[in-house]
Amino acid sequence: MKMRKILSGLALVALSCAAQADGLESKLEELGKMDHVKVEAARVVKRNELINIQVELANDSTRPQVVFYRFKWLDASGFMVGGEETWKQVLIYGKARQTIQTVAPVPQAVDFRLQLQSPENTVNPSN
Amino acid sequence: MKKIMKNSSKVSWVKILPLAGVVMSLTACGSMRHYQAEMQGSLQATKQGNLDEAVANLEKNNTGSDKDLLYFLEKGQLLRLKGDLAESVNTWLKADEKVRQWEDESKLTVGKALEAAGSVVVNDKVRRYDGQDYEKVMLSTLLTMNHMLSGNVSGARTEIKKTYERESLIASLHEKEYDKVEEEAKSHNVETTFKNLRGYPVETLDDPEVLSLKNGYQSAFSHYLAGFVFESLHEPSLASAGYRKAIELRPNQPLLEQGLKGLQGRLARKVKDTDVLLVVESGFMPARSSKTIPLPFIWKNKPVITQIAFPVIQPSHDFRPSNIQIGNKSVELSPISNLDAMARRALRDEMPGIIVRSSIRAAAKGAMQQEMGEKMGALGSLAGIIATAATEQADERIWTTLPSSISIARINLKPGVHQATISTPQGPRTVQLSVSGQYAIIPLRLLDQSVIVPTPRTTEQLAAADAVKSAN
Amino acid sequence: MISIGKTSRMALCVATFSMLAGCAQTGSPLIGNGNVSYGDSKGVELVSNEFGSTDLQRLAENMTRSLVQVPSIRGKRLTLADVQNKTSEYIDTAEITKSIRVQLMKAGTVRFVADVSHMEGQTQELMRQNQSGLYDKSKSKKIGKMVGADFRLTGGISSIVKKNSDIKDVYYKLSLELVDNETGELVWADEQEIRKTSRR
Repeated sequence: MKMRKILSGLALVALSCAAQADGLESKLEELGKMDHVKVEAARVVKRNELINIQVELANDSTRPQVVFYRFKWLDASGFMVGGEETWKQVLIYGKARQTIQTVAPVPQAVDFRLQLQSPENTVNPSN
Repeated sequence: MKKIMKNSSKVSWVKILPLAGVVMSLTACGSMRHYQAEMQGSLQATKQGNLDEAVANLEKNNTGSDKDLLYFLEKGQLLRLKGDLAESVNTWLKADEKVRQWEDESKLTVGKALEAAGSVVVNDKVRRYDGQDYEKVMLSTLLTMNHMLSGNVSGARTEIKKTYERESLIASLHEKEYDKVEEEAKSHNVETTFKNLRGYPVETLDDPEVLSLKNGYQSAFSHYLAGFVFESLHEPSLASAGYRKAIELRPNQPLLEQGLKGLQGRLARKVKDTDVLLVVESGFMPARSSKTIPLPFIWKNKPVITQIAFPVIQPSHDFRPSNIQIGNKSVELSPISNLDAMARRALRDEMPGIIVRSSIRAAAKGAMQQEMGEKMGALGSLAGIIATAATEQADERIWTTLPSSISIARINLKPGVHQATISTPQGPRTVQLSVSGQYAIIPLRLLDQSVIVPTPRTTEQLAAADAVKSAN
Repeated sequence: MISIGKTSRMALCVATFSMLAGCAQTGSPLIGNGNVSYGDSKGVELVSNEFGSTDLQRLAENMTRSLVQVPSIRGKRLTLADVQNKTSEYIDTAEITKSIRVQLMKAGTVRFVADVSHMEGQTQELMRQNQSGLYDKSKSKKIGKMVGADFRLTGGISSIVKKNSDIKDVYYKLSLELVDNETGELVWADEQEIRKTSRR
């Protein structure tokens, strides 16, 4: 909770900041725990009144992995803005790192959530 | 001794009875419709231009309440030539419903070609007529033309979109079907090339006109028409796709290339003339007939021969005009779709599947013949032969009132009525073409002695025409 | 005290009622036998390798995100010009540009004015208001007040298709450019690629 506040605060202030992988968890909505793909880092920057995001994904298996992802954009009061994004598919080769970049669709967006789904995932019931 | 005799005869009868049942059911199925003979009357009347008689004849042969696809296809065409476009559209939409049903089913079960069990035992005629693929494409193409003629532009757009969507569905089905046939052929150890069929008229399928086609269902005309319809709707991105596809299917035709090249220019132009697409439909689809060919197979280590029927399409040598005279200007006609060649191409592509099915059937029939011969002596063998002869006849169903070829011309005309002269097998004929609007499609149907220009008529006009006829 | 008693009695009532009705499930407001269902309109569609809904959405989204970052178009007027279809597939490129327009309008950073396809309707409306004589002159919209666009969005989509006996590979490239109507300058250009491979 604290981390989230700090993160969204950072986005608001729009300073160039590198979020640590563990602090990122509140931004991620994984649909089942991904077995092989990890979110390594994310950067949030505000340019031209729009927040820019760069997320780095890493595949720790030797086989290529497919990941589906999309961003949700939230305004200052936590409402979704800019409409629903379309799901995107990205291919990460074995042992490779893949960068995904995006820009907020509207200037009102100050925060984001990243939805991730990999076909190879497990759902841990204790969580 | 006597006891043993009795016993043995009992045993054999028990064995034979089910076989006799098979024979009976086979001969029962043999009395199926002979479509070509059935359509003869309608076709002759159409060729003479007696469309009312043609429709009456068609109705006479289809009295049941459960009408099939062919009935709607043929009737729609006859009504269109009569000028009753509204009723023609309604009839064809019923045919379209049947095709849509086929589409839905084929989406669920791929490889239906081999699933029709009845066909394996008897022959291809037993299968429900789902329409040839080129017929399905032509159905929505002709519907598009009807809509354009009646001024229903959005209807035309829907139908032309359906045409190419249907085409891509057919393409995806074929890919899977061919793979499946190949698998089946391998598992039954069957050779699938028609070139090994002794006595089959191979030249009808090896015709250069047949080989030059990419497949049996994509018609360059449908795509050119799509280009024209989308151009008239000012949708250049879709129009260019239509013209481009037409060129791919029918390369080296200046008219088609001009369609794509001049698209931007035509859309920007500001002239009062009408851009007219003349569609000349000539000839009739060649009949499908069957040719019985002996197929050898091995039964109990002995070579056996059975008679199996294969469909044959003899090329039509219909008259095709090369130009049309409009006012005092002669306009060249570009041949764009040869439906006769398309039908033969479809048959060529279908042949491997037919051969696999026939070989399985040949084995089943031959085994039956042999078994009867063994069990019942000469009489049983004869019964078996009769049964095979009675049931052997390839599927001869085909949409007969379709033209065998389509040629087009495109010219700018001043709105109003123009005189057009075109040659028919019986000499030149002159018809009136009425032109209006920015874009117009004018179909011309060439019959044996006359030319029909299907135009939308009001109900009063149709009633008046009927009154004139009955007065005569 | 009384109120507490009341509520607990009510709770008991509700509990018994729900126990009685326990086995029943609430029906969904669904008509039909369940063979048809609504899907996710934003899901990744890979039914065939022809140009599909996901391609349209992705191209439009990426192009918009790229376009919205151009500072010089803030508050300016744009029109949609023709995006040429150079593939042999029936791709309605107008739908791509229309999606871009919707997303840009939502961002609120640019404005759109009537393009060629709107002109006929626009002129008809003005003629009707001004020349039919049916309208109050003081309240009808005046002729000669339409505003021209600062920029126009144009471009093209092309494809490369390769096929062999077991693989079909399709590559699409959409390139869009923003042209300054006054100077003819290219203000922005971008391209998006899509590769789709299918095994037969």
